Amino acid sequence: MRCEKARDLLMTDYLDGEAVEKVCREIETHLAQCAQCRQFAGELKQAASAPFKQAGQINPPDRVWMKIKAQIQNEQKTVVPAARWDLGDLVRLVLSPRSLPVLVPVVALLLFFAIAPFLRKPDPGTRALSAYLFTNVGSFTAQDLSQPEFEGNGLDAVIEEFFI
Amino acid sequence: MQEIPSEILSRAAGGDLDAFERIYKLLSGFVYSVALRYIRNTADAEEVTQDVFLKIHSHLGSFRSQSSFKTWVYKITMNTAINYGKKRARENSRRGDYDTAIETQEVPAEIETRLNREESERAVQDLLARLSPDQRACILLREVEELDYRQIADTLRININTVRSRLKRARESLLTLVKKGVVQHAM
Repeated sequence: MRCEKARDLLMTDYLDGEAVEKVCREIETHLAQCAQCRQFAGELKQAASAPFKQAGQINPPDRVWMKIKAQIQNEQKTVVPAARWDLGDLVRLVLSPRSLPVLVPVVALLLFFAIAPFLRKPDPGTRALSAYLFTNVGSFTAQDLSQPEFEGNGLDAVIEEFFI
Repeated sequence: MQEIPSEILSRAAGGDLDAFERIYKLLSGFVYSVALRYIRNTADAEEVTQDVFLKIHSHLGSFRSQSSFKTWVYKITMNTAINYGKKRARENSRRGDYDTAIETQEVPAEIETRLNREESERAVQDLLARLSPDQRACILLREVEELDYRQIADTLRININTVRSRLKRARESLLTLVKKGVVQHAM
C-alpha cells in the first residue's frame, strides 16, 4: 500500500472503524514498515481524535426546562377551550336527555312563530280598506302624471322667487 | 445518547408531563451539548434545546420504536442547530463582521467559567471553532456522539462519501493547525 492511500484511510475508515478487516491488515502492515506514516497516525490520533473522546456532556441550565414546561402547559390550556366548542360535542349536548326540559319549549316556540302568519285571517275592516286604497291610489297616480307639476315661471319654490 | 424506556415514551405520548420531564433529563445533555458545540453561543444553544424539545413533545405519538425515535432526535437536533447557525451567520454577515467574528470569537465568559473545570472541553471548543460548519457537524456526530457513517449520512441527509470527505478535510485542518501551533491543547 502506498503512503498516500494509507494516510487517506487512516484519516477516515481506519480511524472510524469503518474499514473491513482485510484493509485494516494492509494498513497495519504498511505502518509496521513506514516510520513516517506511523508518526502521522500518532499525530492524527492525538490532534484530531483524542480530545473529542474526553468530551463530556454539558447540561442546559434549569431555566430551559422551566420555559419548555410553561410553553407546553400554555398550549394545553389553549387547546382545551377550543375542544369544548367542537361541533360534535355541541350536537351531543343538545341531544342529551338532560337538555330535554329546555329543548322541548324552545322547539315548540320556534314552530309557533313559523306557522302563525299562515293561520291568521284578515278581519272585514282591513279587507275593505285594502280594496279602497287599491282602487283610488291607481286613479290619483294617473291624474298626477297627466298634468304639469307647477304652474308659473318655472322656478321650484317661492323662496327662490323672493331672492330674485 | 441515552436509551429512553418505551414505557416512558408511551406515557409521555399520552400527555404525562412527568414522563416527558424524564425524557428531557435523559436527552437534554445530548441536545444542548451538540447545539452549544455547533453554534458556540449559550443563548442560541438554549433556544435550540427549547425548540427541539417542543418538537419532540408534539411528535411523541408518531414513534413506534426506540431506534426511530433516537434517529429522529439526532436529525431534529442537528437540523435545528444548523438552521440557527445559518440564521446567526446571515445576521452577522449583514452587519459585515461575520468573518472577523469567526476568526476572533472567544468562548463566552459564561461557558468559560463552566468549562474551566475541564481542560478537555476547552480543547474540544478550540478545535471545533476552527472547522467549517459542515465539517463541525460531521466531527461532532462522529467523535463526540460516536455515530457511524450511515447514521451521520442519515442525520445530515448527505451521502456516505460526503461524510467521509468532510471528516478527512476536517482532520487535515486540525492536524495542520496543531502543527502550526494555532491549537495547543491537543498535543
